[in-house]
Amino acid sequence: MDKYRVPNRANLLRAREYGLETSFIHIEQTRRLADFTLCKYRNLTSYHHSSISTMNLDQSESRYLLSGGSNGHICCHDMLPSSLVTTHPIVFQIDRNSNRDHHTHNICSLLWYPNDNGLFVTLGLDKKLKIWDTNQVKMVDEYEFSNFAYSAHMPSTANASVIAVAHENGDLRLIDIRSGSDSHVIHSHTKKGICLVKWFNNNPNLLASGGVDGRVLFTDVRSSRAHYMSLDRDNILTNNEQIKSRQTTVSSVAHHRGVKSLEFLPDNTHLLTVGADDLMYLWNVNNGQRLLVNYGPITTNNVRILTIACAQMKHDRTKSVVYVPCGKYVRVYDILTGQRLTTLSGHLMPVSTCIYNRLSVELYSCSDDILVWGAVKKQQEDYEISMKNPERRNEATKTLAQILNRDQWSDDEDED
Amino acid sequence: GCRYLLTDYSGKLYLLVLERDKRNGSSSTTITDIKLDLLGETSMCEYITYLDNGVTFIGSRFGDSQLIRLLPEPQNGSHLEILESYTNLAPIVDMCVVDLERQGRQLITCSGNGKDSSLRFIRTGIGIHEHASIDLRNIKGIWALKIDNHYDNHLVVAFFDQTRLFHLQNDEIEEVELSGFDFQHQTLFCANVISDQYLQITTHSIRLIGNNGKDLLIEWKNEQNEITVGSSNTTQCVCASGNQLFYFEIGRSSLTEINKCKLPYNIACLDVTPLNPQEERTSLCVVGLWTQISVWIYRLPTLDVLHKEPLTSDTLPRSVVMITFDSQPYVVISLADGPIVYYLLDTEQGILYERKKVSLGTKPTTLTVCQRTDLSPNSTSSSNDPSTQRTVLFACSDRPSVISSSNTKLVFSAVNLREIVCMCSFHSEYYGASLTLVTDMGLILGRIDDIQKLHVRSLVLGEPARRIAFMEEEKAYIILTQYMDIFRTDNITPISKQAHQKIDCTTTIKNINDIIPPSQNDVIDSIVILDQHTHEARVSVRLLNREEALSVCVITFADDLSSSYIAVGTAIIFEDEDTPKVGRVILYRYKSGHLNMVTEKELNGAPHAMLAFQGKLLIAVGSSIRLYKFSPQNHELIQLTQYLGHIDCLQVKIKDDFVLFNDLMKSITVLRYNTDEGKFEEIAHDVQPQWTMACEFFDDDTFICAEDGGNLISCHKDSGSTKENERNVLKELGLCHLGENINVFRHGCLVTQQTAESSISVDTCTLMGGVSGYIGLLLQLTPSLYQLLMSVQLALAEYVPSVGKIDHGTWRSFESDGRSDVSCGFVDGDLIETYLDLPKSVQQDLIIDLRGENNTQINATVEELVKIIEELARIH
Repeated sequence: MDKYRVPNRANLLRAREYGLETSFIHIEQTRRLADFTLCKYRNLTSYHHSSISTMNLDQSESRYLLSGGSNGHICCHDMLPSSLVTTHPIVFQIDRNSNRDHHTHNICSLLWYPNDNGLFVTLGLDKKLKIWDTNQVKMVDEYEFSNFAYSAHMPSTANASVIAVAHENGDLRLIDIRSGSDSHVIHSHTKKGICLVKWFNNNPNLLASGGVDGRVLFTDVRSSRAHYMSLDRDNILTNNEQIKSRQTTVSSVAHHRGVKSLEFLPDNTHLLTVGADDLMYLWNVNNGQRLLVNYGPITTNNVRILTIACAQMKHDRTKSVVYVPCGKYVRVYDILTGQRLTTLSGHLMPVSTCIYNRLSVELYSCSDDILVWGAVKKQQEDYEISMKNPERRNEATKTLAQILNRDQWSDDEDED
Repeated sequence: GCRYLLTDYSGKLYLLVLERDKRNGSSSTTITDIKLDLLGETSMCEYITYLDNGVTFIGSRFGDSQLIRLLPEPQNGSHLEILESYTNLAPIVDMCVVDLERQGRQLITCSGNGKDSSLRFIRTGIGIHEHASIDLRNIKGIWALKIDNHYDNHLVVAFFDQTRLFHLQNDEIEEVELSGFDFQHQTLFCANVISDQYLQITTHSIRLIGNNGKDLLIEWKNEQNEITVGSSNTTQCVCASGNQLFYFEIGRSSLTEINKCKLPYNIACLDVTPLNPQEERTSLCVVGLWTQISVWIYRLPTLDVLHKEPLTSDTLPRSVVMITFDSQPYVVISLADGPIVYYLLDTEQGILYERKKVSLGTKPTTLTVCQRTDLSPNSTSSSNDPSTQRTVLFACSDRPSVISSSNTKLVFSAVNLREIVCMCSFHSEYYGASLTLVTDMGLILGRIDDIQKLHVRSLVLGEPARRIAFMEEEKAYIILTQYMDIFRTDNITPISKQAHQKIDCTTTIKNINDIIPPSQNDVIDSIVILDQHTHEARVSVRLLNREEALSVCVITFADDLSSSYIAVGTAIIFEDEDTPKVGRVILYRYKSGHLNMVTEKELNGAPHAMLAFQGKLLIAVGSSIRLYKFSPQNHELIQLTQYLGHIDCLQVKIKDDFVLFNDLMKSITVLRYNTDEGKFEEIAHDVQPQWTMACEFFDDDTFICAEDGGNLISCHKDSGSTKENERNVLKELGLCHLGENINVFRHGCLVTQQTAESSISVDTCTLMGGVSGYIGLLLQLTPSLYQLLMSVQLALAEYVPSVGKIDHGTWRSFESDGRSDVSCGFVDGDLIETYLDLPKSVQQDLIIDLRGENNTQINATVEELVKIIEELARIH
């Protein structure tokens, strides 16, 4: 934890006034990063009746959170303002009652269009990928597949328009939403299938895919080869010259069992993978070497795809944290040392997805409900003390009334 | 390659010499010795650039940058000589605006760090460096004469019924009586004229004097009436007696009456100054009239009326001057109630056109022509530049101003003096080019600073000041300082140690007593009270070890109106804590030089800001906003209410019963204090997470906030909306990248409202001070003016070449960590003002097809636009 200790805020503020501290924001973010607690007084207007399988936060404003349930329902919450006591309203919802183009099966992937939140993509187990206009909540395009698809992803670089879809038969399908072409298929994995696909953060031509066979492949979509690198868990980065690191071969596997999570770090040179063998590995994406970091066993239960969240500080890349769903808990690890910093507990069901909001410095996690985590320990304590004080009770009821009012309004809006 | 310049923390400059062993030849050298010599002390140094010939530039972040010369032999124990010093206000940590009686406003900034810390007193207008002063009252007029000398050495001083002559030699002044002069009457005009003669016009007569003032050559008297006004150049003289106008030509020992005429009304003022300073004659004479308030232009020597221009004013012209600025002749008329009217003059036809009016003071204004060289003799760099030879006009009134021209527009710069009755330029041998200025208290001989610049004076503190407050009743500044041992120097004593009265502050709060370390600390925080006028430290209070003063305000409590208090917020800061856990508010009473601690109150966080709010004390403590009242009976502060739920409230501002504060990372929030219930209600907040630095009110519904990435955000509260969620969310009106990190906003501007007919209200003017020493002025524009200026800005951004080909729109677009947006809602004044410098044809072309929002046509003429932009330019 000492790594995430930063100077006293009073001193930092002073340094900023004198122009001596240029990374003030990042230092303050670091302070908050490893100090998350459950925001007890922040609720999301409840919507999902089934368990929530996936979530996605829009990248342009870090404001709208899409969540998809296992019954195919999709809903979008406005996550601002991030006040201490608030209920986040539903912006729109897509289900049987409100939209005839809704998904009928479990939602596998939700994607915001990276540069602009006017568009989002949904992928369901009904073998359909749909593209939606956010402002009208109207489906604008639909692709139907013959095989199940478990995961879809879009590059976050500018002008990206290609969605990669991972199919259960091992095919990697590329869909260009500009032309509507969905015929480009790469047969990269074995028949066992692919679970996951992720584009590189900084390159719209490279993608990583993780299969049920435990293999993690890097593919250049411009090249005719199926993949240019296959991660091998025995290819390790070490100073010990006695150990010969093995080069990747055809039989290389990253995990002994299927890959459940792929996540690139914001520095674009590292990749975190979680496998069904209950291990998490850190890789260097440039040479495919595995860094010797031991995170301990991570029980993944029977969740098919885990979404882990990484936070890395711009001023100091070594200050990087990963939030990993692990059963009913979210574990927080320091990425480079593997030290477990803290465990966030609050969910009653296994957690599937963690999302880190960089602007508000908070974490969203979902199981059968969505919880918000933030560095609000002291404020909540202060608030609780002030609520116990009888003088303040009137105001408490008022806040509650405000919450109720807001609920009423959001319901009205939805009926429109 | 073996001599290096080094500096340390405190600005000591060393020379490091590596001595090499040359025996091994050039291929490899061995360093045999290192020598370090102290050269002297400079500002705290960030960069050293060696220029040439021993001249080095010292770039400083916290003090004035300096140009120094390294001396081979020490002078006064130092090996360096400071050639030039460049004013640097950075970083402006806090500032306050103080009204000075009748002399405009002053901005005081806490600048610098370490030993270069200072308070900077900033005013617009021109400062006066006083050389000498003479205690003479009731002066009516003053003129300088060169008698037997190339320099001005005599002063003719007119009183109501007599005249006195003073001789100045070096710094001595004596009254002399030269027999050629008339001392029995009031002098109306006096000047050197051709052939080393002197012309004195008194109420009684016109006297031409020769032989170095000893002989009266010719005297002309008007038998019937007294002479009322007179003027001359070196060869021509005009005077008026009632409604009669006389014209004379001056020759060697001759004063010939050429012509005279009678006017319908009495003559108030007249002028025959040649429009070209090199010429000795003029063919025009301007006359201002009583009763029928107008100026007439006469052709000389025939005294034909060329033009009659009514002044459309109720008050008479007080003085009139013909003057050429940038080869454009003007006629400038001052009126008896203060304003100045000026026209362009057609010298051929004698016609006046393009009237403009500017109000300066409220009392009669007298105009005097000065050569610019008299004003800034020290501008050595450009002494050969003809622009410095320009003439300027000095307007004497209760708001003295210098009128000069820049890019063919007249610039009015206020002079920082209370009131000037009359003045003349005085180029003396001893003082150099200077001015004599007559105030109601006496006569000042001095030099004035460069024109149209902020006038900055600095008070060296020796330790950084964090916060400043002004106490009106006691005419004192209260500053919070922090002395750090590592910046100690021998030359400067920190201000807190200079105080006449030194107090140690103790506490009875158990929580604080428990944790403060007993040992002496190398960081000492103090509260220092400075005298407004002498700038001497009256009292200093030394705080506890590890206790840092964070905020200060002057407050009069509603429950005790008899006296005002000083409230200081402090926190005990340990480096290993996340945020300060304990702090306190200390309340002092300061009256007639005595400081008494009244009470203290424990806080559980850092008091980042405090303010007087409706006779109560409003403090931003950590994550809460709290309101305290003072009970005079028990001498204690009682918490009334608090507002919770943020991270760290950094600054708090108030307007009526509204409270605005900015949070560390949650942008701004507006609260209302419900007086009946005694509680804060949240009115609205900005939902975006914004890492803010400072905030301020514009009006009831508009707010401004500065962001960590150097951006400005303006927000609007839609209080009329029917939907609750719209009412309590602030709408972002404007986003703009300023490129400066703003530490503090303060209402007010340095210029007081000048023009009665100005279309721009300066009520919403807000000054901002930044980390880099930047001072900016924000002004709220009316919607129509915004539309106009915004479209002009877009046109200018395309036309005016930008620095480094950085597109204006790109540079101004909002860019912060994780968010980028196009700039909107802000007009860039610097860019707009470049319009004035463009050629007329381009000005016309740019506004041909201005389009506002929704592509609506905006009609504007160049004249209107220039007038608006000139007015805008005048408020800063």
